[in-house]
Amino acid sequence: MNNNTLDGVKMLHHDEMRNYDRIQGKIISVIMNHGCKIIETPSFEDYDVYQHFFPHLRQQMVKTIDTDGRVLVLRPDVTLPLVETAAREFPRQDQLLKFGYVSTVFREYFGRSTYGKDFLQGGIEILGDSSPECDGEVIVMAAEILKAVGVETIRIDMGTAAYTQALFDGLPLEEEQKDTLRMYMADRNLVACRKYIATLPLTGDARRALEVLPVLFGPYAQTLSKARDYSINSGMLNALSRLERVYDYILYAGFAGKIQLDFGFANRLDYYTDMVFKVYVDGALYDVIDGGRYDTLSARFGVDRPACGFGMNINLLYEFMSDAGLLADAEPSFQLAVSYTASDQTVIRDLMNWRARGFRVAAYPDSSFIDSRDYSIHAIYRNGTYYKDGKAMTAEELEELMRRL
Amino acid sequence: MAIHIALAKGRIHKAVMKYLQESGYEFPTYSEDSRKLIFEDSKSMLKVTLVKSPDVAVYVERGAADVGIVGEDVLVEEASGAAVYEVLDLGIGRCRMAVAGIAGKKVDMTRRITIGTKYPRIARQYFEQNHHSVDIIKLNGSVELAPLVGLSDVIVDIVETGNTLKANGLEVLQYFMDFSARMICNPVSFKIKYSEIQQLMKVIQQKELEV
Repeated sequence: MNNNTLDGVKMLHHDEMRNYDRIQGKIISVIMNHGCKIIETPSFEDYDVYQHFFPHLRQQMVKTIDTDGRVLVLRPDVTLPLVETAAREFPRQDQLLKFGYVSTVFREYFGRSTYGKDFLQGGIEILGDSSPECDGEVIVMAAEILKAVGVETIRIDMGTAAYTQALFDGLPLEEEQKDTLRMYMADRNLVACRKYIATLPLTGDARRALEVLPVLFGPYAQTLSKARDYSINSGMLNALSRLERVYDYILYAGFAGKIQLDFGFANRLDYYTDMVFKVYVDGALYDVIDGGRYDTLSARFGVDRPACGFGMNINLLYEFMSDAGLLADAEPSFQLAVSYTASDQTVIRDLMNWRARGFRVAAYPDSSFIDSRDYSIHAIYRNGTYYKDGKAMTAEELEELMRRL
Repeated sequence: MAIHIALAKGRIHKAVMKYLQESGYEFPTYSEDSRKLIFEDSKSMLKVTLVKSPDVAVYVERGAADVGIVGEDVLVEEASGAAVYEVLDLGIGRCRMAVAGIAGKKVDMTRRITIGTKYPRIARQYFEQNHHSVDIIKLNGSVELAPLVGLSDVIVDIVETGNTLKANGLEVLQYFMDFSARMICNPVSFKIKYSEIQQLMKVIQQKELEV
C-alpha cells in the first residue's frame, strides 16, 4: 500500500477544528443578525450548467460521474445553485431574499505558503434589492465579519463595473477590440494595454480615460474626483453618483475609514454589473473577501431579480489569523485524564457525573501511553482512591481543581 | 514602505543592479560575483532577492516579493496564467526565439516533425498557429545536439549571436518572436505600494532613456 501522496489535502486536527468552529460561529452570527437565512447548496452540481453559466471555472472544477453516466461537479461555488434554486422556489420578482452560508467549495486556492484543493467559503447573497443601500450593507457585513473574528486592520477596495461599462459603451470600437482591451485590463497588463490603446482610433478624452483606468485607485475623495474628471459620458457620471450613495451607507455604519476606491477591477465584467469590492487584511498580499452586484444572472433562470453578495475564503483568513497570532491557543482535549490498573463502578460513576456537569474527562488503562499535552490534570485511580502527584484525592477535590482551570 | 524585488539571476539581475546603483541606490553587501542571494540598500528602501528566472513569477504571485524582473520568454513559457500584473517593458535583455535546423538540410514540413526545445509551450504555440502538427521533446540544455544525433528534426531556442548554432553546424530557419525583460508586480502590492513602485519604474525608465 502506497502512502497518501495527494497534494493540497490534509487532515485538520482538534485545535484547527476548534478554531474553524469559532470563526464559523462568528460569521454565522453576523450573517443572521442581518436577517439572512442560512442555507447549504447540494454537494454535487450538473457539469453542463456550470459549463454554460460559469465557463471560466471549467478547468478548475472537480468532475465526477454519476451512476447513470451523467457528469457532475463537486460544488465549485455557491452563488449559481443558490440563484437558480431561488428563481425556481421564489418566483416573485420583488421578493427580498437574504441568504448566508458556510460551505466547502471544491476549487484550488493558493495562499502565501498554503495550497489546497478545496476551501471553506463563507458568504451572503441578497436578492431582490437593487438599492445602493443594499450594496452598502453587503460591504458592511464583510467588514463586520472580520471585526467579529478580531481582524481589525483591513482595507476595502470598492469600484464599479458600471463606470467601465459606460466608458466602453461610448467607444467607437468593434466588440473584438473591446474584448482585447478588457482582457489586458483584467490582467492589468499595462505594457500590452498601452501598446494596444496606441493603435486604436480614439479621441484624446477616451484615450486618456482608458489609459488611466487600470491605475485609477487610491483614497476615496481624491480618486472619486479624478474619476469624475475622466468621465466622458453621463453613464460614467451616474455610476459615480450611485457609488457615492453606497459610500454614504458605509460612512454612517462606521467603516468609511477602511474604504479606498479602485476603478481598475475589470475581471469578469460580464458578470458584475455595478459595485464590486475586495477586502484585504493587513500584511497579506491576497484578498480574503470579494463580491459585488450581479443584476443579470437571475434573469437567465427566468426571474429578473437584482442580486448582490460576496464570498470569503475562510482558509485564507485562517492562515492570516494564524500568522498574526489571532487564533485561540491550543487547549488539552482532557481537563482530567484518569489512568487505572483496574476500573470499577466508582470510577465509571464519577466519570459520568463529571461529564454531566460539563467537564471533559476520560479514563484509560495505565498500559496506554498518553501525551502530556493532551490533558490539564492527570490522576491515577487505585482501589477506590484517586492520586494526583502521589497525593490521595477525592472525586470532589479533583472536580474543584478542574473548576479552577 | 520598502519594496522587495525578485530579480532573475543572470544577465537581467546584473543589468538591473547596475541601473539601481547608478541611480543612487547603494547595496553595501552586493557585488556581481558574490554568492549572497539577498541584499538591502543602505536606506532600506529596496530589498533585492536573486532567484532562478522561472521562480520570479512564483515569488511575486505568492507575495514573497512585491515586484519581479524577468524575461518575457520565461513569463510566457513558465508563468502563463500567473496572477501578476505586467507593468513595464524594460527594453533590456532582448533576445529572439528561432527555429533552427541542420545547415543546408531541407526540413519536410508536410509531415509531422519533431522539435527539441527548452520552451515546449512557446514552440507548440508557434507551430500550431502555423498549422503544423508537431511532437515536442522537452530538453533542459544543449538543445543544439538534438538534430545532430537524430533526436529531433529542428530545435526552437533563444538565439543571441548565432555562434553556438554555427559551431554545431546549425542555421536559423525562422526568427519568430522577440522578447525583453518585463517588470511584474503582485496585484495587492501594486495598490498598497503604488507610489514606491511608480518611483522604481521611473528610475528604471530614466536609465533606459540614457542607454
